[in-house]
Formats: sequence, structure tokens, C-alpha cells
Amino acid sequence: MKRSIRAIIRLLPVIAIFLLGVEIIVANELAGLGKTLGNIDSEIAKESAVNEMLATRVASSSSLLTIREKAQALGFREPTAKQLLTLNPSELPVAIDNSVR
Amino acid sequence: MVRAWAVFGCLLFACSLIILRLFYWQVIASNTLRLEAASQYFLQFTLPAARGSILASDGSPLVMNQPAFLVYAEPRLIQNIHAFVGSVAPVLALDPTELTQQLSDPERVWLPLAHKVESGVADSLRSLNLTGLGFEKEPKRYYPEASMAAHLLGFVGSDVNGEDMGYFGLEGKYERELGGKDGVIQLEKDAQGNPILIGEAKRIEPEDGRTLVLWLDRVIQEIVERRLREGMTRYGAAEGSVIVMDPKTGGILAMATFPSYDPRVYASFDKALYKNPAVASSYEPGSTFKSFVMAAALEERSVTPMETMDESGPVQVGEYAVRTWNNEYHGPITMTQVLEYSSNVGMVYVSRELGEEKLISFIKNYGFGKLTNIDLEDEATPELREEREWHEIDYATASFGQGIAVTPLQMVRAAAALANAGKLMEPHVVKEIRDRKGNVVPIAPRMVRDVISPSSARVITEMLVSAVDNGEAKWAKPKGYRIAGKTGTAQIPVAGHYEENKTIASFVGWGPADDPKFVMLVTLREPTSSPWGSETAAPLFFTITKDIFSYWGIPPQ
Repeated sequence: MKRSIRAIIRLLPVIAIFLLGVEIIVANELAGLGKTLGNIDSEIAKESAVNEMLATRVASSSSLLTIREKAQALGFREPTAKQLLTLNPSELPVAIDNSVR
Repeated sequence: MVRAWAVFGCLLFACSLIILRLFYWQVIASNTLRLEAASQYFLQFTLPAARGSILASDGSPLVMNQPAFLVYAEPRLIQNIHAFVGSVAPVLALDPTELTQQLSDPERVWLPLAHKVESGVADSLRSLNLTGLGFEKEPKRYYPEASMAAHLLGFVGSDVNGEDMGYFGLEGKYERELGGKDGVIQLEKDAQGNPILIGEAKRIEPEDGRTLVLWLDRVIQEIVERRLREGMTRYGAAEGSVIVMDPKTGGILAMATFPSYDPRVYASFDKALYKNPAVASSYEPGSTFKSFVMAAALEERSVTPMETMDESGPVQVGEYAVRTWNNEYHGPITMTQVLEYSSNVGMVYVSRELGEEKLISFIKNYGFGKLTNIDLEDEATPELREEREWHEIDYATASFGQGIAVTPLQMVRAAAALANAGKLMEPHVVKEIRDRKGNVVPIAPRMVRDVISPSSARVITEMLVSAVDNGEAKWAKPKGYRIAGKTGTAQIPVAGHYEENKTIASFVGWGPADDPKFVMLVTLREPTSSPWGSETAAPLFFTITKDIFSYWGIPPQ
């Protein structure tokens, strides 16, 4: 009993030094991770900027201005007289191609 | 002994000096030193809040943010100023001589070169890899629909501190909701400026601005703007406006006024154009006002639709003679025909039957002379004269819309009450407000009061359908549709008299008459092709109406 207690008491400083070493290593690793965090933040900022840019491109492509220009380029024209073709009351009217072929 | 005391005295003096100095550094200067130390080992920067977007009713963005940058120079890091200027000045369109002078200033540590530079330009500058050239995020507003609804949206400028701030329209009215709140981050940093994860850290997240979702239908807005531009050219008008409103909710479906400005480059336009005339300017409504006086008389049972009056000639009001607009007189006519012929003589009869007190009361009940509380920054209202200032002739002229000033918004809202079973609604541009987390705050439609009863509203609607079918503008009406409406041609008052040949032509109406989906007011100032509303504003109204019916798939009835 006395021997085992003495053995534990002799081991305690070793354990303490070991744990101190582990703490130093872990703290050092964490401290160094700041640079990685900084890099990740930069990447996030870059991707956010790309997302913002893409959102503006989507908005521009789906704007009425763009749709009108593309429709005119494809040959759609304002009908001289309004014509409505409704498939059933709950559906939207369809466009009628009145171009002369 | 004396020597010992002298030495003791010197030591005491030296110690006192040291203590005093320590007291200075540790107590008096402690705050300054603490801050200086913090700036060395603390990294602090602002997390800017993103400004909220403005969306149309279908979710399409009318205003959003696009990436942009503040481009700056740090002169002390620049190795060759001339090479630097030669590379940067052409890209940013800066004066090379002035830039060289500024960069050569030995006192300069930091110099802003250009604000809100778009990504493409910023990327081309980055690719130059110039030392001493820096970039700071500075988002810029982007308008996918270009200058559509400029007056409604307003624009974003700068405040006294150079921070973004909304002006006019929605950007001004909802500045707090759209602007959000900047956050801040404070971290301990190492010698190389990298954050220390296990160090002290404080982070306050930014609260991004909220998004506004409008009642505005961008297709109807596009129709309205295109047709209004065409109409102003065709009729030679100096100014024009159109407002389209949902009568049941008070939601603004479209609002356009020309001349207008481009919010992307607002600074290059005359400041006088920033204010929205549809809510801020007043005019005399003319015959369109007859609808409201007639409805009031019906409500009070002062007249009935088939009651007749004798339109045999001008009517005397005090020392004045009130004539019809075309000096034509039809003998006995019904109240419905008073509206069909747009008879001023008939309306004087109606206003006399209604009574002076009731006329003023109804004018106030319709909301004239008071702000409508629409959620736009620039609303104004002309004041109604005090009742004691009204004379007999004023009651007579008010009955046909002269001698009384209103705003286009007040007119369309009052008309919406007639279309909405007599219920006056509070007009609104914004339907709901959303935050980044997806929480939605709806802005519920608000009824202000009942102006007339549903039965009176039905009767006036039928009378106005008849006015459209049988009146001066019947030639322009789309076939097969029941539309209620009234033309107006008002002279413009200038310096106490009315201009002979200058008018404000207008048309107010709603359709389909039996279940109104929209109410619309068209006004054209000083049309030169013809002064009459029936020949200018009315056909423009019906052109827009045809487009709206087609868009909504409403077939002829």
C-alpha cells in the first residue's frame, strides 16, 4: 500500500510535465490557426462577392428590359389587334404568332 | 548630521519624482496607453450591413446590391509614383497631374481614389499588382430594370459622414429598415497581424437591411411607362402621370411620372425632378371631380340617377354665369346625362341640391386636403380653404373640379373608394417586409372609413359606365368591356387667372366595372395636340387598360 502510494507520488510530476507539454503544443496550434481562419474568412468574402455578382447577372437576365430586347431579336412583335386565346378560364392567355411567312 | 539629512532630502526628492511620474503614467495617462496597446494587439474592423433589396410583387428585384469597391492609395508604399499614376489614372478617369500632386504630398498617408468602383474595373486594377493600391468593399445599388419606377424607388446618396443614405421615395421613407446596422469584430492579433483564436474576441454580428416587397406589378409598371411616354409624344404634353391602384387593398400597382430621372446617375439630373409629382404636386382636377360630387348627392338622396334638370342655358351664380364646356345645352337631362355631357350647369344644380355644408363634408371624407399616409417620403397636400372663406361661386366651381386643388394620389384614392363599395383605403406601396432570416412582416391593407354606401357606389359606377359608353371619349373605349370613368379638362391657374390655352387633361376610371381589378388616373399637363381630356388622356387610359386586360387575361364581358 505504502509502495503504491509512493509510486503514484513519484509519477505525478512526470504526468504534470507531460500535460504541461500537451497544453503548450495545443495552445500553440490554436494560436497558429488564426492564419487559417483569416484565409477562410477571405475565401468566404470572395465567394460572397461572386454570389452577389451572379445574383445581379440573374436579375439582369430576367429583367423586362432584357426580355423585351431578346423577344424583339427573336421576331416577336406587338399584335396590331389584341387577340386572346384562353385554354381554360384559369390559364393565362397564350401568345399568337402573327408573323407573315 | 547635516550631510546625512541633505542626502536623505535628495533621496526623498528623487523618490517623490519617481512616484509622481509613476502616478502620471499609471493613473492620468492610463486610458491613452491602454488604447494604444489595444491598437497594437487588437484587430478591430466593422462588419458592414448589407442594404436591403426592393422587390416587385412577383419577387423580381427592382433594386439590389452589386459588389463595388472604394479604391485607395497608400502613397508611402508606392515605389514609382509616375508609373503608378500612368497605370491607375486612365482606368479610373482621373487627372494624372492632380493625382501625381496628391500622391507626392509627404503628409499623405492614405488617399481615396474612387468610390463605388464596379467589380470589373476593380479586377482590372487588381491584375496590375500595384503596391500601394488598396480596395475596400463599398457595395453599390443595382437597378435591373434601369430607371423604371424611379420616383417610387428614390435613390441612395451619401450623408454628411459619407455613409450611404436613402433619399426620396422608398429609399428615403424606409431608410432605417433598408439600412440595417453595422456589426463589429475585435480579435487579439499576433505580431504578424493574424488573429489569435484562443485570445480575447468580441463579435457583434451586423444586422443586414430588410427587404421590401411591393404591391407594384413590374409588367403593369412597364406598360404604364411605355404607353405614357408614347402618349406624351403623341399629344405633345409637357408632363404626364399615371397611377394604377388596387381598389380593394389600396396597393399601388404602378406609378409613373415623366419627366423623370435615372437613380443610377441621379446627380446628373435637375434636383427638381427628384420629387414625385404624383404624390407631391397639386392640380385642379376639372370634370373628373364631378364623379365624387354626384356620388355624394346620391348618398344623401339629394338626387337620383333618372331625376331631370333643365339645361337650357348658362346658370347664374352670384355675378358669374356658369356655362357648359362647349356652350351646348340639351334641355331636360337626367343626372346620368349630366355626367355623359359633362355638364357644368348640371353639376351646379347637383351641388345646390346637396348643400354647401354637405359638399365640404364629403370633400373632406374623400380625403382631399389631407395626406393619404402613403409610405413614400415626398407626399404633400394642398390645404382646403377654411369654410368661412368659401363663397357661392366657390361651391359652384368646386362641383366641376375648378377652384379646388388635389394631388393625383388623392384623386385615384377617392376614385378607388367609389370602385370599392364606398370604402376609402389607405394607399400603400410596400406589401411586406422580410429580414434575412426569412421572417415576414406583412403590412395589412387598412380601411380609413366608409365614404358612401355600397348601393350608392353601385349606382355611381353604372352612371360612369354610361358616361364612358355615351360620352365624348366613347370612340376610344375597348369594345366588349364595361369600364367606369370620367374625363376631365381643367384650365391651369396662373397668377390669379386661368391660362387660355393651357389645360390639364385627365381621365379617371376603373375596370372591369362589375368587379374592379384596378383604378387608374391618367393626367397630361399642357397637351398641345388637343386641350381636351376626351382626346388625349382618355384614349391613353384605354390603351393602357387594353394592355392590362390582355396581361391579366380578362376577356371581354
